[in-house]
Amino acid sequence: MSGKQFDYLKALVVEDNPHMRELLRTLLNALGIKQVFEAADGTEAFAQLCEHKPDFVLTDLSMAPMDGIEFAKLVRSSEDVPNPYVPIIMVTGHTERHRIEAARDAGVTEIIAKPITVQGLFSRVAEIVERPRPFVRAEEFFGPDRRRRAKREFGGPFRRHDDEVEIR
Amino acid sequence: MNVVSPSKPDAKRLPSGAEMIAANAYPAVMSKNEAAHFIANLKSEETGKRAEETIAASSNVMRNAVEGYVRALGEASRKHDVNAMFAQAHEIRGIAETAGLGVAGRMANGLCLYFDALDGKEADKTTVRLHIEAIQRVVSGEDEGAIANVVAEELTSLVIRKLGESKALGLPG
Repeated sequence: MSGKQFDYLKALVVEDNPHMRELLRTLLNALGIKQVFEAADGTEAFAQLCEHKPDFVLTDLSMAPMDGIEFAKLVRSSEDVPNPYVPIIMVTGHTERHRIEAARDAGVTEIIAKPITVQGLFSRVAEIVERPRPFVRAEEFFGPDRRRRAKREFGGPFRRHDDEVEIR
Repeated sequence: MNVVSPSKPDAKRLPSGAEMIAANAYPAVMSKNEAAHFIANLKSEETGKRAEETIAASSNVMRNAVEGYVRALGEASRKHDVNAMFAQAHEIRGIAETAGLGVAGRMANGLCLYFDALDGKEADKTTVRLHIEAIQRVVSGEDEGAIANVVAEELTSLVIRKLGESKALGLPG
């Protein structure tokens, strides 16, 4: 395959569907990422993550025995993980709101809805490189800031000291 | 791994007691210079074309896989195994578009959303059967184009109506 190579980059693809796993791997190859490690569920993925220290992770949601939500929680909370800040992009067919919120609350960085598209995948990969998110460490949460971007129309509550509140 | 050392720890405490850690305070995926090269490549026409070709090349493999999931969906339906039906429909919605079977993917997505909204309670058998038969017809090529689209829209309306009826009767969904 021609094109630029980014030999220093490592990605981990976690997906139980072998066809989708293969597709994601070849798309990352097309992007110039040659070091793509693969796992079929969260348990296997965690072992791969600790061994290979990928620069970012693409993970499915529904897998057994450990799904993508539990895997993300483990990455963000385990003392064994080499980099708890590693970007996690969830690629999922589950577009139901409660599942998306569960992924966000587990510490997932970006979410892509299946069916996978080049535009969808590449834009999320660009996002983690160009605009890395601040992290929040709270009593019951560690992960990317769940407030994606400042909303001008946001009406509160203003709980952060850097919230810009206009006093009239 | 290409860990880039943070330039300066930059964490601040929020009024809630939580700690906000700035993006420059933890290891970056790559340096600014590397990122510039990587992003330029990612956004190049050549890379986009190569990636689109990758997806197009996987179409036949994906189509075979969808056909397998549709057979398994039919089998799960005959056994009245809702969990298995959900699992197979979920696989179909994930890859059908890539297989060039987008309408089947939409139908499978509708079936998944229906099961999900019911939250384990009994599904309307006719609604489930109509979805499965429609998916089978699209994948076998019996229904295509405008007809398949109309059927998909009707199935969406049916799910909305059935979930509405469930709510009106005080049932979950």
